[in-house]
Amino acid sequence: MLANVAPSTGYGTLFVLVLLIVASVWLGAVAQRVVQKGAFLKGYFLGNRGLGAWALALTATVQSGGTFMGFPSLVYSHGWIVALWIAGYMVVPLTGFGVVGKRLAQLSRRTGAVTVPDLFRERFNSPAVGLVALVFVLTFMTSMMIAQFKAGALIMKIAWPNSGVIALSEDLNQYELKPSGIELLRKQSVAENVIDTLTPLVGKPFNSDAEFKAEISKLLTKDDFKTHGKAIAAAAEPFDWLYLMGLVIFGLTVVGYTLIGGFLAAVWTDLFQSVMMLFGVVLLAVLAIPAAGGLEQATLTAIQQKVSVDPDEVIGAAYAFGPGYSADGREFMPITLGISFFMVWVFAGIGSPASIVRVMASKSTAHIRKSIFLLGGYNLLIYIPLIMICICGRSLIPSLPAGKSDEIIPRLTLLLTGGLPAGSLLAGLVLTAPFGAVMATVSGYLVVIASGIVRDIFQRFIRPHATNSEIRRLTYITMILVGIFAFAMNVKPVPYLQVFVVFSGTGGAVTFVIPSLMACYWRRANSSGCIAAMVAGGGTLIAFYVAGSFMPDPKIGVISSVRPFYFLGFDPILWGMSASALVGVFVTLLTTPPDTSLVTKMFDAAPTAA
Amino acid sequence: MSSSLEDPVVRSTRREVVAVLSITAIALTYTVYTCYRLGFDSKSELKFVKLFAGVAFPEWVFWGIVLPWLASFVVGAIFAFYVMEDADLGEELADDDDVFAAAQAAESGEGEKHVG
Repeated sequence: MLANVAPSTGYGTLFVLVLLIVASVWLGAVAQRVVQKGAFLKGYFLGNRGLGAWALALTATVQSGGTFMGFPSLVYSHGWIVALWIAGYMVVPLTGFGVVGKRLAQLSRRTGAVTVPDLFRERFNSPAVGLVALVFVLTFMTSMMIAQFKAGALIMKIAWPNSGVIALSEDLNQYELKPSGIELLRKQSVAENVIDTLTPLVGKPFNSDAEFKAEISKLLTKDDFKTHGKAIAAAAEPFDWLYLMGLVIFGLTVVGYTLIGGFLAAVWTDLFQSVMMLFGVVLLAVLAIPAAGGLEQATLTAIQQKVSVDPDEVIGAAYAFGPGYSADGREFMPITLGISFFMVWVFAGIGSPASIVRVMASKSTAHIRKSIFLLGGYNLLIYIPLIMICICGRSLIPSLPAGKSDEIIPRLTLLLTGGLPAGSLLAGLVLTAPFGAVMATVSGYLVVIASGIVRDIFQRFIRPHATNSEIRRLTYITMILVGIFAFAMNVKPVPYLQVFVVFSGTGGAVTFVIPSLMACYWRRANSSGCIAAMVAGGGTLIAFYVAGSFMPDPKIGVISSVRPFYFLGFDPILWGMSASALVGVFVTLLTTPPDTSLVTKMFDAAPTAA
Repeated sequence: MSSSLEDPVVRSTRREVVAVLSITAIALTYTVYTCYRLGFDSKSELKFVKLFAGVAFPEWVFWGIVLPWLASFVVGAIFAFYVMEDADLGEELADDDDVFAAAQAAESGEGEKHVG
């Protein structure tokens, strides 16, 4: 069975990865030279508003490492229905640039805004609006960045030759109570009878902390579990030096090149990495489809795959139809979630603070227009081929163990490039695509977070007249501290990466889409309405996630213990956006209209010189 | 509430937003309806639309996802090149209008205006 073969990444992957890192640092250095030509803030955080069509198209709305990690895993596990899950991307180029792009670019010039909170603050002439926006930007982007650090570290680990690991799985670090762990518990004065009870678990691996704790809770009494549970789990916690080394290298690289070149470094490396991703996907599609005997044959083979020792028990037609196949019988994508996810990608593309900043940095409307076309072509060549590749993957590598479906792209790549000349290098090119995607996401978010802290807190509230060198120094310190914080949060990795990704994307949408529309097009919009819209949207989302953790599994969507409450079967984006719109409009109409001079400045044509 | 002095960029983008949101609504409705009608009954016969070189899609994927995706690309291109209007985004707020940037410029001895 191909799935039982333990493929090795070899030195090709590591070589290409090192090349990618070197290229990124070089781009950072080149970016620094460009940044130095103008004022520091606008150069470092906004690239002097000089983004061209390619940079704008391939970096503004292209999503995170999830494109190469979570998404392929979903297709492999649930089948063709994932095409509906991702379908919203068909209009993302239009909505991402066509809804607020031109107006935000204009408003940011009119106000001299450098950051998203800056823009809202100036548009509504209200420090409170800026502050609320900043709180949400930091909340959603920091959570996403922490999760992406983990992804970057895992990919570094995969790339390490002969590490014996090729998975992008989140649960690579296995929990296991070893004799050394038992000794540690003895030293911590855990009672002998408790240690004896744990004997059946010695040497038995568990995929996660939660799984391990569930097992010990069955063996121990309630009181013993309460007293010693944490110590026992800590004793079984793995020390994974490859992961930690990956975390260090990833952190140093991404913080390093972003620090050197700021916003432009993030954008240029993102562009470079997006092109690499496209190359990887097209190559893999060209290799995978013939290898599987065509897509029709691949689908039929997948449908006939056995799922148990019973020869009659096969995956079945659910793999080719909605709501999708799930090994545990859950409905992956009921039509309500199909509608929801169409909206998730559309509105996340409009509302993500990282996307808004890139639109603010666009050179001209002509570049925005061209970006719609370029991104349309890019999405078409990335997402539909990725679905085809993973369907072929299910046929070629039929039985990846539960929880290891994230391995499908690395395994398929190694399988298909194995016999080709320079196959190892080609494999490296494909396997580094997720690394590039993660680096690009982290880099972009690092700039937004640092700009929020430096511009919107330090400069606005602490030292309004800070000098150039003070700002520059503080920016560098902030980036390093944010990097250290993300590193520290990942020494013990955060679970449920995909949930963080969706939470962050949806968070940006429910918090910023309606306020952005109000800011751009509604003359009557005021600061109270804008704050209300942000708080209602963000608050609704957070409330739905908190509620979901207390409710029984509704058996729909992605399996995870961290999940939102799907009211009426819809994702919280629908309720968050509705709450944001209703509350925003209601509060605006109940409060004082904005100052006429402010409205004139933001909406009317500038008086022409006589 | 609009003004006769309203910036042409505001007017043109308002029209464009209506067009974009209409296209999005049509794409969403068509995609979800077609996928639900053709693709949510796993007891029905699985039919494929064969294209080229082994590329084939289940019928519901082709009509419900691939085709509207291609159509959205074409519509997006038409919108970008024939509907969306170019406009002058205006002058960057000069740095000495910005108290923060002015402080920096004074510190670095850059007396002249930096324009975006």
